[in-house]
Amino acid sequence: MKRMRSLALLLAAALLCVGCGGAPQSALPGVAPADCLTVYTSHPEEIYAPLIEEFEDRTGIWVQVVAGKSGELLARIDEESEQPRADIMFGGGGDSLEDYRDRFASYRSAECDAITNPAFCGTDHRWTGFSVLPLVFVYNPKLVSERDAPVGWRNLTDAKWTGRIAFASPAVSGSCYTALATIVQLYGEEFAARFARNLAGRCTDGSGDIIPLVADGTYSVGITLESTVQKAIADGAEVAYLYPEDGTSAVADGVAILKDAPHRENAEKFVDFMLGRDAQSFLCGAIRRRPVREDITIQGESKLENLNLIDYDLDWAAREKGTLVALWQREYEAGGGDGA
Amino acid sequence: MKLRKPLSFKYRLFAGSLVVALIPLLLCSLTMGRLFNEMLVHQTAALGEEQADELAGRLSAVLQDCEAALAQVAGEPTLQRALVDRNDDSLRKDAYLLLYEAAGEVRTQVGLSLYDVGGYLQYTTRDSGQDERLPVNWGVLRKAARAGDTQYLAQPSGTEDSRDEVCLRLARPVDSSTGMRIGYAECSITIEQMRQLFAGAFEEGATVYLLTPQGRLLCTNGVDGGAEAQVIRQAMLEGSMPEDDGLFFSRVEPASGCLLVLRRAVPLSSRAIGLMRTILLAAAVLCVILCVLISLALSRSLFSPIARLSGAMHRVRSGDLTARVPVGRRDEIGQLTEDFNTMTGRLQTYVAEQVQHQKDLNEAQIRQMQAQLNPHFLYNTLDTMKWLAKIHKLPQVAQLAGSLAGILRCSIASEQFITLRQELDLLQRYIDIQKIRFAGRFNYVLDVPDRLLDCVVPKLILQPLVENAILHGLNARDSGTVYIYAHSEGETLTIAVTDDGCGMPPEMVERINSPEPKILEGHLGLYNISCILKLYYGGAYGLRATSYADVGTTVTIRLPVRKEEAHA
Repeated sequence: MKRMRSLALLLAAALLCVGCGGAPQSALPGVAPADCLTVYTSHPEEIYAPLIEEFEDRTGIWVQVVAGKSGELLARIDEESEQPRADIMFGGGGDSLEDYRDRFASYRSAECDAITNPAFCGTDHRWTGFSVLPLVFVYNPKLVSERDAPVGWRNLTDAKWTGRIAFASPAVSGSCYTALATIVQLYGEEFAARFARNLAGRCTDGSGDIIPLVADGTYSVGITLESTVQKAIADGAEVAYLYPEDGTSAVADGVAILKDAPHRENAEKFVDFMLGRDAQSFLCGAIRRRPVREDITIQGESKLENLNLIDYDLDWAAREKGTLVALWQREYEAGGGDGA
Repeated sequence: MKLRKPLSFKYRLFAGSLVVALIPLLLCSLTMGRLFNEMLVHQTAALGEEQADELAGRLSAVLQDCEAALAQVAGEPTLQRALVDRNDDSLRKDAYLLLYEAAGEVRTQVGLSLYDVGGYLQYTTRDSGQDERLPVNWGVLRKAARAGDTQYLAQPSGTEDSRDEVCLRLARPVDSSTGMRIGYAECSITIEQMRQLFAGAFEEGATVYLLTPQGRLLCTNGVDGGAEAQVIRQAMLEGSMPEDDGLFFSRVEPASGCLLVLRRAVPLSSRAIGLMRTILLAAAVLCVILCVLISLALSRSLFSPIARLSGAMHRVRSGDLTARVPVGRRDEIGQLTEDFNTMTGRLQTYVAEQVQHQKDLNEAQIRQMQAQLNPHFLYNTLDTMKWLAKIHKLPQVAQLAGSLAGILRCSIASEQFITLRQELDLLQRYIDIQKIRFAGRFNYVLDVPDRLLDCVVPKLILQPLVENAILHGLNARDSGTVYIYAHSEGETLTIAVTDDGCGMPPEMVERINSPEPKILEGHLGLYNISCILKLYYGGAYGLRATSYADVGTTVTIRLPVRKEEAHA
């Protein structure tokens, strides 16, 4: 037995000697934790990639991007609130950010001086708007002449649009919920119910389908975001759009620093950069998004202050979401919908 | 138990042979395999370092050339003039000439351009139609404008197959002699140009990644470069190594800060290592099988003779002393078998002797008992004769009857041992009878020390000797003497009966003195005594006779000195 043990020891020693031959010099440079930043973003890659690359080049910070849908990312932030893995939530409508405001740290960037509209900053600056997304009506100019197009929300209950309005369920689409809340805020729940019935039981699977289905004639008009339709037009879609004259709501998508963010200093640099003139100019130049800064004007676009913006109550919209969606669902089904 | 022993022996044999066979095999193959792999990896690593240096050197050299070209362009007054005055055609031609001249050797490797202060392209050596305008508050021009000298911008590629897209840009501001900013000199390297630059500096199978200072992919020769670069970046962020079996070599290009990563496949692929493992495993399995066979064969060759021996031992244990095992081999087992056979033979002889011994003793006792036939009747008759003789005043008859009765009583008593005193008393009675019979034809001399009178002897041991002396020794003589003397020498008591008669025939003497005396015809008494002494006291004691014709005979009894109390 003793002999066996010594033999085993010998064997182990021999293997150890062989094992100690030295690992090959294969290495990659590491990154200091202080140079890192983790960003959760719901923006599409063509928006966040150039911005983040420029940010990296300017600051030398290594940004780790986790892209996803805003609802999922916010839920993840909520899950990880004990020990946040991300520093920044980049993207997501102001109303949903406001919903999760407890997860975000208050930070007022110096750049906020150029953002005067209080609707574009969260409570205590827990989030700050990044780009503004006004609601517009999109229509197919082949089916609807500029004269006939609905000029305001009040026209949406007209009999001529029955079953011709492209609209997604507000339970699914954030922008459609904003539209529903805008309607209620302007004309009350009764009018919103009539609007829901006027859809005649037809609605799109998501807000992304609205413009294609208007462009191919399935619907005549639709409700969508200004930047979406502008991008579609730039990509060659034959649609036209107008701003509702009885007022429209513009929700900003925002950027927020997480509470207890592991890289707070880098996160502040990120917010400063995104709200800064350069990034905001780049936003309206290359990406065709409406910047949140008022000191930047877009050539060929109506200025933000010239739009008839209603004072959209984010807080109220967030609070009433359940009720309003239920109302819409009920009336939509009454109008012939199958609940889809 | 019977089964376990050979089994456990078998297992030990198996384990032993396994250790002896398997461990060197494993040790050897593992050591060799590792050493081999290690050596190849080291070679690959050394080559990888060399190639990484070469790649970084090429990039640095080109970038230095670019910087020199930019400096030349920025400082060229004709070009400065051409940037401001765009309508002079001859100036334009001169400007292009100068631009190509400045590009010099790196002309094919990079594109050299001049942008005006608004970021619009004015002159370029690359195919125009690309990057007609660069933003001045974004990217490389902003950096150059702020720093006032040459700046780099690494531009990660958006799409996979954008060969003509610029991946690395250098720019420096062009200031007029009065210090006014009039434009930017810019140098750009496309993905394709970068690939050309790196081509040939590494072998087939290796992958080069050029990354931004923050680890984003600029260009690669890899097929699925984007995803792999993402893995590398993630590994750098986590401070770990990518989970693939490649070897990585990285360099930071000092001027631009770009990361150059060379990935080489490990020399022994995991498939080759797997194959080696399989072979090793097969060898180990073969080894185990051989060990099993050898241990089985060995244990069988050992176990079957041992089982035969064990069976024979069982037979011996149950009483069969004839059990023998055929030897049939010359090794240790054969030796053991032979020893067993010898031992059993000896045992058999010994037991036979014991049985014979007991038989002899029994026969002597039976004879003794036959001699005691109806002794009480004889005794009582003799007693009656004694009293009748006394009544009829026949003193000799009375003495004869009395002495005979005494001898008879003693001989029929149950005790086997009496003291020498009692023995001599009996002898006296016998002598008395014989004296009457032979009417004083012999003398009788007794010489026994008093201290020996308490010695214990078997009863009636002297009477036959004396009888022998009287009947045979003094026969046909007118007178004679019988000497009886005893002495002790250490633990041995010697009693000698000597007569001065005609002597014994020599064959008689020889027979008496032989270690195993045969029955003496007509001398049953002597034989019995010899037997009794040997049976009681062992072979060291017994009778001894010396005799000389016409001088006399001495018969000596040797027996151990034992006192009465000790014997009781």
